[in-house]
Amino acid sequence: MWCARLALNRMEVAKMRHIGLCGLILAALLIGGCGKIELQDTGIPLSVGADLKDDQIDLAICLANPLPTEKSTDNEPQFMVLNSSGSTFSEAIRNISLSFSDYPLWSHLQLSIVGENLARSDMSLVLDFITRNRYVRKDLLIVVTHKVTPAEILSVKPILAPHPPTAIKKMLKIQEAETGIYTPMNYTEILHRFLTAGIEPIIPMITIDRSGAEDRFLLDGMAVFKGRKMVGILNENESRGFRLMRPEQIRGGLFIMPSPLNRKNLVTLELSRSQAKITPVFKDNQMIMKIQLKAEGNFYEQSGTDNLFTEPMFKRLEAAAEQELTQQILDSIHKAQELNSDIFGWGEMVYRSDPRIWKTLEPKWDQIFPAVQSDISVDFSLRRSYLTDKSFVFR
Amino acid sequence: MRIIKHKNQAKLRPPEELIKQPISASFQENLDRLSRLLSSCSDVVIKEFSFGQPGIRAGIFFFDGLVDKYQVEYSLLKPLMLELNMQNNPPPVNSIQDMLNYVETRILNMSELKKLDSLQDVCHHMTSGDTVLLIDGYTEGLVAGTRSWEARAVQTPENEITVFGPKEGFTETLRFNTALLRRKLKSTQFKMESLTIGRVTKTDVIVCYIDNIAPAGLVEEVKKRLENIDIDAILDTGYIAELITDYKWTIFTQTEHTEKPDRVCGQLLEGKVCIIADGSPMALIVPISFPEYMISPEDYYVHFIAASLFRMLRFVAFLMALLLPSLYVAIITYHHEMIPTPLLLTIASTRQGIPFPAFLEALLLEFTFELLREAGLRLPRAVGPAVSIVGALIIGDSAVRAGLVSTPMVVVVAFTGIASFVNPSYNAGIIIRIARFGFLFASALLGFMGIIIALILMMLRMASLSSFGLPYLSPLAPLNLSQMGDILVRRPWFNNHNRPYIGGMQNVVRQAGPEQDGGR
Amino acid sequence: MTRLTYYQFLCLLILLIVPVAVLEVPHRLLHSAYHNAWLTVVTAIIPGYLLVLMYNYIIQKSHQSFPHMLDEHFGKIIGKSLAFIYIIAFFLSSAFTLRLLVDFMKLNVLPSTPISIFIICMLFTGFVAIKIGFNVIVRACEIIMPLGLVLTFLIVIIALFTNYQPERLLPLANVSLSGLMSGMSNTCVIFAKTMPVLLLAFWLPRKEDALVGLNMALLLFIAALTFVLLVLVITIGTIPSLSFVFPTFNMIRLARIGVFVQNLDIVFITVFIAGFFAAITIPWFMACFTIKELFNLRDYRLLAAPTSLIIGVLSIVISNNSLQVVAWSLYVIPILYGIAYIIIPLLIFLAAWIKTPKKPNAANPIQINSSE
Repeated sequence: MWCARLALNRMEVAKMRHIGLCGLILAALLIGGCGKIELQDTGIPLSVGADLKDDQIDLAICLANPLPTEKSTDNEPQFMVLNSSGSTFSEAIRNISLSFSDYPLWSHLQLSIVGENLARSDMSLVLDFITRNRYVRKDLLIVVTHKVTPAEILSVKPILAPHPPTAIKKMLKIQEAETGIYTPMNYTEILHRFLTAGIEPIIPMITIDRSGAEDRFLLDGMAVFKGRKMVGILNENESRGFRLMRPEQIRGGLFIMPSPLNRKNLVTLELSRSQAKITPVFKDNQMIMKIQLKAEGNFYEQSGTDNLFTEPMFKRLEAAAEQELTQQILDSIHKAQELNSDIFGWGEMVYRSDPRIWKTLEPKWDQIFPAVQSDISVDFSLRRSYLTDKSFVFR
Repeated sequence: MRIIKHKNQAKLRPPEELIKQPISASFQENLDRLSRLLSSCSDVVIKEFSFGQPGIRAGIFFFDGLVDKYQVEYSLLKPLMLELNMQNNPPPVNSIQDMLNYVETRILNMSELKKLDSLQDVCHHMTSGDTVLLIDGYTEGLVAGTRSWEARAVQTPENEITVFGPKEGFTETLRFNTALLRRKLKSTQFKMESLTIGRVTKTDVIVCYIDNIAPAGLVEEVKKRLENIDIDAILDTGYIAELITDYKWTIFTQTEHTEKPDRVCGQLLEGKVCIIADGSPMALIVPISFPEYMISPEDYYVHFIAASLFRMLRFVAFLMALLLPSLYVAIITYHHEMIPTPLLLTIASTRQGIPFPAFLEALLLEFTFELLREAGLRLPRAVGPAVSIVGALIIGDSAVRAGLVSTPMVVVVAFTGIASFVNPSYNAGIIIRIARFGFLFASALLGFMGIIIALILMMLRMASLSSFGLPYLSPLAPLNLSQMGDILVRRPWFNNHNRPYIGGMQNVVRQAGPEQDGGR
Repeated sequence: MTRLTYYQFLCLLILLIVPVAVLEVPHRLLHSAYHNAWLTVVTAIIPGYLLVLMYNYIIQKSHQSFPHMLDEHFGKIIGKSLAFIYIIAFFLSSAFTLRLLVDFMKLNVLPSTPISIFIICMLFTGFVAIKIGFNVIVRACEIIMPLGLVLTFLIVIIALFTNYQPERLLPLANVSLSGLMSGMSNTCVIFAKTMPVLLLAFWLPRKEDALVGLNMALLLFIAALTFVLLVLVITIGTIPSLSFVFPTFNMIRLARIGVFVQNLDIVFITVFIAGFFAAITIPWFMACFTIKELFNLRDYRLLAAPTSLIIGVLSIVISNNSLQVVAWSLYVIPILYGIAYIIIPLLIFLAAWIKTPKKPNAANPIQINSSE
C-alpha cells in the first residue's frame, strides 16, 4: 500500500520537475527583463516634422506633455517641440536623445509634416524611414508645409485642442466634411501612389495665418508630386476638382455658384453625395478619359431673395451646379496636365481596364498624359432645401 | 516531545488484544474489560442493574451527550427494570431459554436494535452515540440506536448564495444530509452506500448515486478508491477530495464541493457520484470538468435566455479575473500602441512619479487585495467593516494620493477582484487566483507573447488532466457539440432531452423526446 | 493506442497549413502573380485536389501507418532510408516554422528581445506538449483552431472595412503563365504540409473519413488564403504589400473600430503564436514518432528533450539574416517540401498503384469471392 503510494509520488515528482523548470526559466527571464519600457520613462511624440536645410535633415518633434490632472493649469502648455538635425532621417531622430531623456514612443505618431524644401527635393528621405519603422502606424496623416517650416507649424498653440497634431488631424477631417476642399491623405494611400506606376501622390498643405493677434493654422492648397519630388500646388478650386474625381464615394462639402436668375447673387449648395466613374477609352490612337459624375446635393443658402423653389428653377439650379462642378473638374485636370503629374491615377485606370494597352503606353506616359482628352458629364440632382421651402421675402 | 506524543497515542488507542476480544459470557469480565478500555473517558456512562426474578445482571453503556437520555431511560431501562416485573404473569426468568432474544423481541420498545458480539463493535457503536446493553451469560450484546446530539439545524448555505431555487444547505450531521437528498430523490434507485474511513475518526462516508444513471464503472472506481484510503482522520470531505483524485500535483482541482442538496441532486441526475461524510457540510461531486465550474445551479431555475446571458457574463468574468492585470501590465510596458492616444496620455499623467515598475505595482496591489480578502474572511464579524474601511481608504485613496500607486492600476485590480467573485465555484476561484499571478509574471517577461505562452501551457496542463476518466476540458476538448449547448449557454428545458454523456453511461434519455410526444 | 475524432483530425490538418499560409505565403504569391495572386490560389484547387486524392489512395491502400508504410511499399532498406529523410524533413520544417515566427516577432513585436528567448519559449512549450503526449497536443489544437480562425477572420474583416478600394483588384485575370504556375506550385507546396495525414488518418475510427477531412482542409486553406490575398490587395495595394516582409501583418495594423479599438495586431499576433505553436509542434511530433518507429524505441516522449535541442540549434543556424530567411522560404523550403511531401508520396502512390492489380492473384480465394 505504502509502497504503491511512494511509487505514485515518484511519478508526481517528475511532474514537479516541470514546474520547477518552468519557474527557473521564468526567473532567468525576469533577470533579463528585455525590451520593456515603463510608461514613466517615455515621451509620446505626436508628430514629426522634417525639412531640409543645407543638406541636413532638420527635425521638429512635437511631444505630448502629460500633466497630472490635479496640477494642470492653463498656463502650462500640454506639448513641447524638440529640434534636432542629422545627415539622415534616422540619425536626426536618434539625435533627439542628445537633448531628451526618455524613450520616444513612435507608435503614437499621428501626423507627419514635411517641409516644402524637403518635398521639393526628395520625399524618399522620409518615406523610407516611415515604411521601415515598425512602430509608426501606417495610417498616419501627412501634410506638407507651405512657405513655413514644420518647426514653426508645430509651435503654434492651437485653439481649444491640446496638441497641434491632433488639431491639424481634426481640421483635415472636419474641413473635408464641411467645406469639401482638401482631401486628407494617409500614409498607406501615399505609399501606394509613390510606388505604383500610373498614379502620382498629392498631399494637402498647411501654412500659418499670421494676420491675427495669435498665429493660426491654415490649410492652403495641395502639393502635387511627380516621382519623388513636389512639382506644384493645386489651389482651392482645383483641389475641389481633384476631390470630385476620387474613385470612392465622397460625402459632404459646399460649393458656391451664381444664381441662375440673377448673376450677381450667389447660391450655396451642399454636396451630400457624389460618385465619380472614370473610364478610359482608347480610340484612334487617342486616349480619352470619360468622367461621369453622379452627385446629389441640397440647397443651403442664397444671397438674394429670388424665388428659386419651383420645379423649373430646380432644373436650372441643377444645370448651373453641373456646370460649376464640371468647371472645377476641368480646372484640376488642366493644372495636373500642366504640371504633368497623374494625380488622378489615370494610368492605373488604363492598366485596370486594359493591361495590354498600358504596356505600350507606360514608357511614354509622361508625354501622353498632358495631352489626354477628357469627356466630362455631370449629373447633379438637388434633393431638398432644409427647413424652408420658400425664399425669404422681406417686406 | 516525540516520546510524549507516542505515549499519548498509546493511551488513545486501546491495547490491540483487548479490543479484539469477543464479548465474554461473564458480565463481570466484560465490565472489567470495558472499564479498562474506557478508562480516562470522563464522558462515558456505565449503568449496572439487574432485572427479572431472580435478578440477572446487566448493564448499559453509552457516551453522555451523544444519546437521547430520555429515550434510554423510557425505552430501555423502564421496560427492563419496571415493566418486566409488573406484567401480570411475569414469566420466571429461568424459564426463558434465550433471554437476550426475548428482551430484543418482546420487551424493548425500540425500533433500532441490533445484536453484536465483539468489544470492537461495542466501542464503535458507543462512540457513534448508540447505547449498548450487555446481559450476563450471553456472548452477544444488544445495541440500541439512541443517537441524538446538539446539531446545527438546516440553514441557508453561507457560501453558495442563490436568488432562485431551494435555500436549504447541508449541515454537519450525516443523517440530516442524507434525508435532504432522499426527500428530493424519492426513488429506490437512489442508492447511498456507506463506508467507514479513518482509523481514529471512524467517519461514516456515504457514496450516493442513482443506480441506472451513474455508470457502474464509475461507482465501482469511486468505492475502490475510497476503500483504499488508509488515514487516521477524515475531518472534512476536503481530505477525501485530495486522496481520491488522479492528479495531485496541480492547482486544477478535479472535484467540486457544494453545500446545496439541489445542486447535488442535479449532478446525480447527470450521472455523477456524490460523496458525503459525517461532520462535513460539503458534499463532493465527481467527476467534474473545468467548464462545469462555470455553472451555477441557479442557471437551471431562471429563464433560459437570462441564464444563458448570465453564463456568458460569467465566462467573460472568468477571463477578466484571470487575465486583466496581466493584460494591463503587458499593454503599458510592451504594447503602448494598443492604447488610444488620449487614454495613453491620461495613463501617462497618472503614472508620473510612481516609484514602481508597472509589474511590481500590479503585484503589490494584487497581493494587498488578497490580504484584504483573506483578512475579511478570518476577522471576527465585528471587526469586518473596519478592515474594509481601512482597505478602501488606505489602498484606494491614500496610496494613490501619496503617489505610491497609480489610479488606473487600482481600477484594474478592483475590476479583477469583482470579476473573480462572479464565479459560482469556490474551487475555480482558487484556481483563478493562483493562475493570475502566473500570468502576471509571464506578461512582465514577454508581454502578450508571455501571456499566450502561459495560456498554452495552462491549456496543455488542463488537457492532460482527467477526473475519474472524464477529460478535464471535457465538452471543449474533446469537442462534444451537443454538450457544448449546455456549457456556453443554458439549454432550455423543453429542448433538453438527453443527459450530458459521461463515459460508460447507459441511460441518457432525460425527457420524453419530441418524437414520442408526436406519437401520442 | 492513439485515437482521433474526425473533428480533431480536421483541426490538426488546418493548423498544419493555415497559420503559416496566412502570414508568410501572401508575400510569395504576390511576387509571382501580383494582384491576381488570389486567382492562382483558387486555381490551385485542382492540383490540391489531386494531392488529396493521392494521399487518400495511399491511405486506403496501405495496411500500416506512415513510417511502416514506406517499408511496406519499398522494402526494408529503401523504406528505412526514406524514413530517415523524413525525419530530417520534419525537423527542418519545424525549425523553419519556428524561425519564421521568431523573425516575425523580432521584426514586428518585440525588437529588443534576443531571438534566443523566443526560441526557448516556443521550444519549452513544444517540449512540454510532446512530453505530455500527443493526445494533449490534439486537445489543445482543438481549442486553438476555432478560436484562431474566428478571431483572424474578424480582424481581417475589420481591416477590410477601414480601407476599402476594391478597384485595385482590376484588371481581372491578367496573369502570366509563369506567374500562374509559380503561384499554383507555391500554394500546393504549402498545402502538401498536410503530409502527416498519412499517419494521422490511421488513428481515425474510420479510414474513409480521411478523404472528407482532407477536402475540408483544402477548401478552408484555399478560402483563407484567397480571402487574405483579396483583402491585402484591396486595403494596402499590390506594390506596397510587396515592399513589406509580412504584408498580412501590416494590413492587420490598419484595422480599427471607431477611434478607440485600434492596433489589433497584438491580438492577431497572440492568436498566431498559438497557431504557430501547433504548426511547430506537429512536425516535431512527427519527427519524434518517426524516430521511435524507425529505431523501435519504447516511447516517443523520451525524445522530447534531445529533439528540442536539435530544432533550437537548427532554427538558429538556418540563416544569418532576414534576407536569408526569405531566400529559404523562396527556394529551399519549396524544394524540401516538394521532395518530402509531394514526390516521395507520389512514389508511394505509384508503388501502391502498380502493386494493386497483382493483389487478387496473390491473395487467398476468399478475398476474391468477397470482392465479386
